[in-house]
Amino acid sequence: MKKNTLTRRRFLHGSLYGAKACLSLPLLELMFGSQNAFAQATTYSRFITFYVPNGTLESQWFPSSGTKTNFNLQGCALAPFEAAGLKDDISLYKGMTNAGRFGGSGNSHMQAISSFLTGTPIQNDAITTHTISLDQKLADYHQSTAPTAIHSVQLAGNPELDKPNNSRYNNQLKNALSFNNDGRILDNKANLKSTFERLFTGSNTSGIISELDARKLSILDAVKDDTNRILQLAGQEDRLRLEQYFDGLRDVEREIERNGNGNTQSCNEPSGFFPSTSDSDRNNEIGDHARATAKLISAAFQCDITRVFTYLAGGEAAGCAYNDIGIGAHIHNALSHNINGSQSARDQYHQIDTFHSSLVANIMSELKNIPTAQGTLLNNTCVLYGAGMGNGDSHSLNNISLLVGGHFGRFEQGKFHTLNGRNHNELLMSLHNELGLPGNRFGANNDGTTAPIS
Amino acid sequence: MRKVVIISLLVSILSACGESNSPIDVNNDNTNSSDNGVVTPSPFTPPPFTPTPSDPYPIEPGATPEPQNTPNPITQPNPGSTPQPIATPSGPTTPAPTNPLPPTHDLVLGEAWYISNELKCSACHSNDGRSNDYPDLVGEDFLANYDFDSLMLKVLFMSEKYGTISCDGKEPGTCGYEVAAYIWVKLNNQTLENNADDGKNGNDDSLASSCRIQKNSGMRRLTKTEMKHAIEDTFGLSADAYDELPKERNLGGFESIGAVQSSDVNFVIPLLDTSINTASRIVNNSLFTHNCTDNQLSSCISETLRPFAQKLSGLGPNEVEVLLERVSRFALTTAQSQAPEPTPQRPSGDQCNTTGECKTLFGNDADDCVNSPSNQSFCSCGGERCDVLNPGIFNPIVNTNIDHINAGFEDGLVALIMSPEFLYLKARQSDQARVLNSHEIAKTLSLTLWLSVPDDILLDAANKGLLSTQEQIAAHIDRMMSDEKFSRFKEHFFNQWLGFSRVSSYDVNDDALNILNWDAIANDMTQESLRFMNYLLENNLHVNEILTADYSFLNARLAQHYGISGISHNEFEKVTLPDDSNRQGLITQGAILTRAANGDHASVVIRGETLLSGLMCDPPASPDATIQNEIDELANAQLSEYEKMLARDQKPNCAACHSTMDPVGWAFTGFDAAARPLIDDANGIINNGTIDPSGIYKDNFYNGPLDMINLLNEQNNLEMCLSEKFMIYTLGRPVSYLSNAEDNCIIDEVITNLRATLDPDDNQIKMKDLIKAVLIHDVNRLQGDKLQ
Repeated sequence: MKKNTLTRRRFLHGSLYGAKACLSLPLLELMFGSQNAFAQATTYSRFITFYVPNGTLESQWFPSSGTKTNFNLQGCALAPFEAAGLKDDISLYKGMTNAGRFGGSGNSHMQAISSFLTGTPIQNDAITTHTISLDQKLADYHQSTAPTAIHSVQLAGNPELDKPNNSRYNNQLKNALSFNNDGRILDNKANLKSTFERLFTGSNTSGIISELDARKLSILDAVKDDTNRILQLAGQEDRLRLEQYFDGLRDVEREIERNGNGNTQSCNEPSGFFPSTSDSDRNNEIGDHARATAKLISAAFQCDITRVFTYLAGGEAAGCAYNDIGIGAHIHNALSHNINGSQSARDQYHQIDTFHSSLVANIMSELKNIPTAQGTLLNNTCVLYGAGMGNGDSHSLNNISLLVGGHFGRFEQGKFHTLNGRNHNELLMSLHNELGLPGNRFGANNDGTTAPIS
Repeated sequence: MRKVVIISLLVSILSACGESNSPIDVNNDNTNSSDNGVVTPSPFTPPPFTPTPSDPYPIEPGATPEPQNTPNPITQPNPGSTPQPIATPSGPTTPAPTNPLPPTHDLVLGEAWYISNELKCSACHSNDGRSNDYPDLVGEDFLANYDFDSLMLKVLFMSEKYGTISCDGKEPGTCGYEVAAYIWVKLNNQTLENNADDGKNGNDDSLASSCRIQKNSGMRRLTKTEMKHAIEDTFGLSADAYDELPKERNLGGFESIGAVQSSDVNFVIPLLDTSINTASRIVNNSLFTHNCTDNQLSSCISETLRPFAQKLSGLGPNEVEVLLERVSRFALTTAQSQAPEPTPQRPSGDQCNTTGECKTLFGNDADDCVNSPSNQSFCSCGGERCDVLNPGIFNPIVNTNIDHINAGFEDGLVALIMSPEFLYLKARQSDQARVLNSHEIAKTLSLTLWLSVPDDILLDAANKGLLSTQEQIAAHIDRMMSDEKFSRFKEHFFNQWLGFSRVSSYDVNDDALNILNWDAIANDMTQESLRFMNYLLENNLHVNEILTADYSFLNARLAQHYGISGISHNEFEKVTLPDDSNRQGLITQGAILTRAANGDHASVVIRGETLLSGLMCDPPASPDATIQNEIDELANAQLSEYEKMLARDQKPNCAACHSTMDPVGWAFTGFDAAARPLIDDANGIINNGTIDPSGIYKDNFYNGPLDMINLLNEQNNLEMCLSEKFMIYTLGRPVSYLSNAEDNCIIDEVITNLRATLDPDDNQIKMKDLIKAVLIHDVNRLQGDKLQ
């Protein structure tokens, strides 16, 4: 297999520089053994997570009253979903306890986020590896069964890792939403321009691998040439680090190859402005960022370039200002700790909750506007929106705010579930099953118990 | 440097077969703590404790401990004696026994101390080491975080911090040792290894350290800054494209921590583009030259790339061959695949049609055009073939176009600057402990001091094996510290340690504080502290001057902001701080004070925590989730900072840490969130309208920032802390003097050895000397086998 690939590279490289050969799609399909991904795309489940740090004002996040099937979102933080006509596309999960609470320890911010998608508590807040998160498990499964060009995409509205005036909080776990199969934390990137390029460059080239991409492939081959020898020589711990680099080389290679094999007929590049937001500094205006992300997601889903996105509004224990809605004097985490002291802080904190909801509703609306054979892009798509921490002021891991959107598996939407004290990993278990993942275990402390889905 | 107060508690077992089964009553009535913490002798004086292998109680390592089937081993009948921990006046500590006999320990003694009123271990951690409110001393997580030596260190520090007395010693028979052994053996079912043969590190005679160096200061990737400088220094051009790579992930501000670096797809995508861009610039730069033609192309490529491969990888002449072969082969493949077809040779068989043409080609020697009508014609010169006599005329036209060769070099260079051999440092070939070779030492030195790869001199020394003794390494460090490239170190090390460049991102609400040009002032603060630390380092001044300097570096704008009058220069200049400024050394500089900014006021807690963690290297423990309710209660309370501080003092769980943290922060409440003098407290946020930065810190009265700075200085932690932070920076792993036995030993050794070289009249340790002393210590030359 590898040998053939090499031959093809050399051929491409040489011919493109020399004879200026133009390779057509059928030849590439033959060589890549590819399938027409788009035709099948809608049968594969898609997953979006929108994570809110520092908790929410939970008492005003959910409707203050109502029943499982009869509830009113007006006045609470979820109102934008009703305004966008999405009430029947979502279900609310009130009262669940973060899985991190069940036997975990360490700073509660770090516990909140690192168990949100893993369903597994951390034992201390200095860990560097953890168990695989649900988004990654799904993306891995797709790559092994019906691969997409891009494995998965991790984004952040505010990627800032550092809250520099408190060195103890200078912790990579603040942004630790996704963990891959090796347990490594995946970085969340804010730069939408480079994400756009990663997703769409090459996807509209009629199946021709560009001269530059062909050269990149041969470079990647050359760099990887001694992989096995180098890995064999390395000790165990070093090997993990080298493997991450070699995996990165392979990921880039795979993405270039799949881009060269892109489907052009039904796939349009999203239009709009994709800001090259810094991947490490604070971003105080996540509104435009999240709206541009919505366009990226819907286009990527439409083209079946990737099926898994995570979006971090901001890292835990940090948080940004929200200049786009006029909240600039204090950052999110500071507000979260003043909600009982000041009515204006409380109002602003709630305002931010509502703002986050509007951004998620916008993502869902973008998807709902794209018709597919199954209905819209919202079909076969699961949207998980919420916070790992409950009341951000008390650092509680109880009563966390959770919403599941989209239509997938056997989920029946339009429900208001109240599940006091139950481990939120039960909801992850439900998502796991309804997204079509094999096996009946996920995360920790779970024997397969699921949360209600109807 | 802080030392555990040594109180030698010589202890005896009164009887090997005691009559009493009840735990010994070791209460305060037997001892009298004086103000300085020294314990006076108890009324009765038992014989000294002399453990021998024949004692029935000391347990041999390897002996199977009793299985712990009951949750509380303390409740088991204790058949042992009733040990009496007795305090006697302190004496010199006995050196560690170096005999090959296994270490002994006394579980009964350890237990008695564990539950005693002096040490109070069990008061928080409970008798069986399991507690809801405090860290467990048993179980997997505990064992993952501690080895025996570090546990012993922890016992010593915790006893000093929270016990009514300080617990002495790391030797058998002392309470630090016995309590740790009790926790280790009895509560955790662990055995004590015989460490008698661990005193020697490796088989290298040049290794001098008496510390057991076991940690793996493992492989790490070069940071983007290091890559950039390495390219610049190797190829002589600017490599700004590397600035576009993702910002390094860091731990505690340090970017060189191998364990948290990210090299995933999000790193590789821009790295690939940057490398392609950079290789193109290198080959098209006039400094890159080669004489390669299609003849002997393979060896020419290889020889051209060799010096670059050696320099960037830092590998020795033999080791570099594998890398060189790989990148050269790739360069050759590219060059050959892009080579234009050779210009067709003029057909040698169809040279002429007339004799005149031959004379034109070969001169008058030509006298005939043989076979002129056919396509086999050739010129004849006196009966011989003219082309044989004049080689070159009809030789193939030499292809002078070298674009394809340059394209080959571009690809080869991309492969080189993306190779793991360049990007990674100190890859281990197995998990075995080993001594680094000269080339690895050279690369470590240059990355640390220059943020770049070795220069020719360093590489030459490595090739000759001249980097194997401390003296040889020290000579290179001196040379490297006087090189211009050392300025990179100053900027990056101090920035990563103390976060100077991040002032503008602190939570200073400039509107509420009425600061007009905060961005400019924030930048000034960064400049002030960088210049200050650089000045100390460049001039090799005393480390303690970080705290005690009566000067700083100010321009007019910053001086005005600080309320210091009489400064009119717009450039930064060294300024003696006026007495009434209440400023001294680094702590009262804006880059440090504004770290505690919390909108419109400064947080006492953050200020205290920042100074203890950052400059004392004594970070308070993270608040455990179990005391979260108490934290919340206070966070929500409508109280001034002072009232909250009093409230914390009333809650034992809070006071455990805040009794040291809060006074350190409180002493600086005379400075506001933006480091300006704070005259009054109009909103009552600090203390109901008044500013009174006085109080008690560790039994000492202080009034104002200068008192506190001097108290902190007396703790003498700064040399330790600079060593610790520098070790993190150069080793690329977490280092903790106060909680890890190995780190503790190394730093003690560095400082002790360095101090021994000093003039007794001037025995203060200096900045450059300390950095050099750490760098030549064996810890930088030895990779342990213990995973981090």
